[in-house]
Amino acid sequence: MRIKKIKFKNYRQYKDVEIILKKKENKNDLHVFISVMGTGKSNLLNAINWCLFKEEPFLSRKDRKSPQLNLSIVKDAVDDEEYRMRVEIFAETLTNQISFLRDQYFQIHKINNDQGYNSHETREQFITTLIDDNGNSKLYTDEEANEKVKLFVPYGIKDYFFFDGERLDKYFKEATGQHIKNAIYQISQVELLDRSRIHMQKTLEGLQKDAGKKSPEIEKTRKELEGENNNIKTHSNELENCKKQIAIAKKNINKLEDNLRGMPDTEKLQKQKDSLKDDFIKQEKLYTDKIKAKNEFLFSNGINIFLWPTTKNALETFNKLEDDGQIPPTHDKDLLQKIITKEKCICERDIKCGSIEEKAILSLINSIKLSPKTSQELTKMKEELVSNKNTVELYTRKNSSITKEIKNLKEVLDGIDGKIKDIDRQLAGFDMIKIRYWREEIRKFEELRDENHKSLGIFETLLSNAKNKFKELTEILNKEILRESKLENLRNDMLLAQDIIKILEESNEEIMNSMRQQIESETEKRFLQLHWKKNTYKEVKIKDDYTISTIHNLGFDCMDTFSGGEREVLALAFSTALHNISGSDSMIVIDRPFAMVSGITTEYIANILSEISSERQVILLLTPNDYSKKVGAILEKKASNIFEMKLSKNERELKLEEYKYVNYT
Amino acid sequence: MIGPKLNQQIVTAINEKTKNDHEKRKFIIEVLFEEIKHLEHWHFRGYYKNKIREYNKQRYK
Repeated sequence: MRIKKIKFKNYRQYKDVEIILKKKENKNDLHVFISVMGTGKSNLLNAINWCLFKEEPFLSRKDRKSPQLNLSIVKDAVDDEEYRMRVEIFAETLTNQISFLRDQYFQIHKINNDQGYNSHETREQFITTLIDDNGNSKLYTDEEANEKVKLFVPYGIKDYFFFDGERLDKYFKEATGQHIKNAIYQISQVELLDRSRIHMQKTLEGLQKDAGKKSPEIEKTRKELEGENNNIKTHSNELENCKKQIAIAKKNINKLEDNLRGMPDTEKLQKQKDSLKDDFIKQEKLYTDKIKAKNEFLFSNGINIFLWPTTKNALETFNKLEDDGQIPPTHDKDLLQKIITKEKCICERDIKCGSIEEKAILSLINSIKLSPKTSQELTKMKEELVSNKNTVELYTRKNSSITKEIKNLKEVLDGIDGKIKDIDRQLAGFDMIKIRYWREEIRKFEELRDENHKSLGIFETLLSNAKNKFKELTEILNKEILRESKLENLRNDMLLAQDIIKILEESNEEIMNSMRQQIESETEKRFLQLHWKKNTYKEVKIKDDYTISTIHNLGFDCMDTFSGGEREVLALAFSTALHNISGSDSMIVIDRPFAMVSGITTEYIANILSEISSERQVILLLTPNDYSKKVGAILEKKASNIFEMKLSKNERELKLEEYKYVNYT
Repeated sequence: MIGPKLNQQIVTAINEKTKNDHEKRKFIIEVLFEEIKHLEHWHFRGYYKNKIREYNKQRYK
């Protein structure tokens, strides 16, 4: 299936444009559109989506505010007149032609003589036309027409056909295992088997009902079987619902984590801040207590300090007196005086006047300057002075110790204060309420995910039990039908239906497993081929639940550490592998495939896309920067068409020209 | 995408499972082609029933 022509009328910049995508001889079905940013390149992708699904998923912020109707039409519109916007896609398969036409009508109301305008949609139509190989055409409208779009590109997997390179990095964050399974399921047509199985099952149930009408015993078993079938349906739905809830939870967690990327962990920081504040209060109390203690200490030692110079001088005098031998008193002066007066020594010996003894005693009396009482008083005073001196010396040491402790406590306080200020700086400018809300939401979704994981196991067991019971009852019913001779024709029909159901079920399972393995191996091959790091990754795995993981050479899953560019390469590898293996021959349209990669990877991707275009139609939308010399050389060899998109002078209309080749080859 | 062409893997799987029964294979492939045309649900029930009867008439005549 390929697009051969797209016609636009009044759709955004595409006022009156016709794009013909003819495959040239000796070239691939590769078509390249080049335009500078803001010309309307992405709107080609939007136009295709709008025509098929009435959606414009790749609108720029500017285009979201602009009217859908072409601006030249809006400007020259006659008040209250109705204008038509149309996109028409003409596609072809090997045997059929199919076209999709979507019209939207607008009514324009001018405000105050061309000061502005209002527009509103009035009516619309969607028509699909199928032309078979005999040239017979059939027209479908409304719901029927929408149904036919599924033949072209089913809505659920459109993202694997129409990509925006700038958003490819979000691919595997959003694409859960369920989406991937669904993509494989639909692209590979395996759903045909499932649809046929469901219809065949209903037919079988009809036949069983017919049999039940002929035998009450059969009817009883059939009703039991019907009940068990309902149980299977209920448990299957519950199981699917669990999986959906898990997928929703995962998607939301990823989205919220994306919101929080680069933002501080406010909760953690707030906790740290609170703990620091508590610590600050404790340390501050210690600090003030210490200051108080110091003050008390200073006060109690104040007098000693104040008197220290006097004490010091007094002690020096004492030391001098000691050196002179005045203190402590060596002789009793009064006793010596008494000996002279009585002329008798204490040993009763006579001391004669003018004798040598008297002269010696008199000389001794003359050398003694202080009275014993004074000397004793002074000795006592010295003890106090020495005690004061010791207190002063102790004061210096203690004061130095307290001062040091106070200094240390101040440093601790300053440190804590610095940390608090640092946290405040980290939190400044962030919307704390919003961040807290996002974190709470993440927790809620994590709970939802975990709860559903638990339920998943329960429903799987219930489903398995119901299936076993269903199998048992089917065997019983078959035996009962075999015994009933009246049911020969019905019996054959039912056995055939059962046989077909079994074949369809087994084929479904086999194909899904085989497809998964093939897509896994092809994705791995393409990923390793495309990736610029050649020695980092070992393999790509699509697990049983269809989630994708990439394994590092050292054996760990490294999907979560992927850069945007790496995700894009994986997405491209997976999508192209999916197309290749599933046998889908539909086209791929990619807006800016090199948006998130650089260097040699752009060339690898250009080569891969060029190769793919030999199997199916590939439409690439590039900027002149994307279309580098090397990329140009690769694409020009294979491209059937290279168009350049330009805007008219008034910048409201897009013109398509053939790209002026620079011969890179 | 889902054109008249049936995925070769499906055809191979069906062929594998109906090796000795060409008629049954033909039956299933025809059913799948009808599915490709995406018939409405109500249509299918009658379609399958008739198809089975037709097949069994051929088989047991």
